[in-house]
Amino acid sequence: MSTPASRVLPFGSAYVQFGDPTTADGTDMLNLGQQPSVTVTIDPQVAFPLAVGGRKNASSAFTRGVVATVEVTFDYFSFDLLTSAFPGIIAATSNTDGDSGYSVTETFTQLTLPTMVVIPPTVTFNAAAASDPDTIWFPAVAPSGEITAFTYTDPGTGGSENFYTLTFEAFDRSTDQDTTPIPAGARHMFFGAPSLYGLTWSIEDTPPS
Amino acid sequence: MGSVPHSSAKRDPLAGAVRSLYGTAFAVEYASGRTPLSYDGGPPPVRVALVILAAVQATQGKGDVNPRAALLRRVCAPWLAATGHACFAAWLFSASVPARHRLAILAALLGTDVEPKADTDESDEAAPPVDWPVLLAEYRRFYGAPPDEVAFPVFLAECRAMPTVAARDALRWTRGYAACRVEGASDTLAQDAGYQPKATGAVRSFYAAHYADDDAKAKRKAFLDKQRARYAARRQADAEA
Repeated sequence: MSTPASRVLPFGSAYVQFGDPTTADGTDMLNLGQQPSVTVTIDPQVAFPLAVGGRKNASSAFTRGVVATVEVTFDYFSFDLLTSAFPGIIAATSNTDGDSGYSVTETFTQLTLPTMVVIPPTVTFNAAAASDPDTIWFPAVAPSGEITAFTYTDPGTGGSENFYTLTFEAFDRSTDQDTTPIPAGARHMFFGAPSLYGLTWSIEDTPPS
Repeated sequence: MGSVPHSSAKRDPLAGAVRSLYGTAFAVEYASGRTPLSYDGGPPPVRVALVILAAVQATQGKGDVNPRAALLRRVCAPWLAATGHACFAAWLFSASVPARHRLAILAALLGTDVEPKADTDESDEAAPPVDWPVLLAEYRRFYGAPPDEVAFPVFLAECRAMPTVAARDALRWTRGYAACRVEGASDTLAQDAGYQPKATGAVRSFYAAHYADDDAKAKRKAFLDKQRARYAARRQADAEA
């Protein structure tokens, strides 16, 4: 398997939200406003057997869809932010000021992964941005990697005083958080209006300060 | 660095008019002589200066289209003559100048009028007060290339901070700017798709918009704190339901 043409979309200071977009007016979305830097990477998954001599065989190449990741550089990042947006998936193993890692939960529990939306800075931010052709929806995401120690910590909140970069991995989701089926082509990620896929999703549209 | 004496600036009868038009911060800087006349920072941000220089040069040869433009040109002329455009640009994009005034100053230099006003009427979209394509064309005419991806996001971020028609127009124009980049040389698929700016430039523009001063930082943090508290309350309510 190979990823012959990864597509990297450096959105810059995009708007980022996590949560449940099925509630009206994005009430259950965590609106983080613009974050300093957001980069979406889309890797097409193409599989092919090798012919004799190690060459690729066109007659049997096929696609396996795409795998998407989102790298977000946060300002005012905190451990609480992730435990709030990703309940159950993150557990502190030592102090909560950053020297923490992921650990599996002690029991096998169904996780509720949030939906993520990335709105490029070129899109005017309001409720209609949820349906802008440039907006990218990820029906389910989870952070990947580990949280390293913060370089500087806010003594009041325990959050990072420096910008902090974390990568999120898209998961396939077959139904949204209101049990509405998501079409096969949109289960990993999609651009544009959720209504095109029969989904009634919205964003929290309080404008950033 | 120039040598115009500060005392002449202090006695300038225009100081009062400057204060009334552009606010106290501008006037204090103007009157105190701590403006570009005494700018002693490190190397000026040359790329940003190019933007200003293009704006200034674009005004040359034009008549005074309004009193504000005439005033600004008169105010700025000694600075420009004494310090050069780079220092003027450094001052304009420093914390000394409130973000909401920067576009007004630039627009006055361009001979246009972008007095900030409430952004409530959609019908005013038909007549954007700043002709961004003209600014771009002037830039390209002087430098033979579109603005680079570092300087212009900073400029656009400043514009975006203004709740005016001009700000909306600036946002819309970012797409045109991206197209302009592609016209020159596109090195990534992202630029082909019109996504701009590059991550590095975007971090800088974000910083300019949200961390320009303590006030901007406080507003930024207050917004995030409020959103996180609201979301946590919703989660708590769901858990109890």
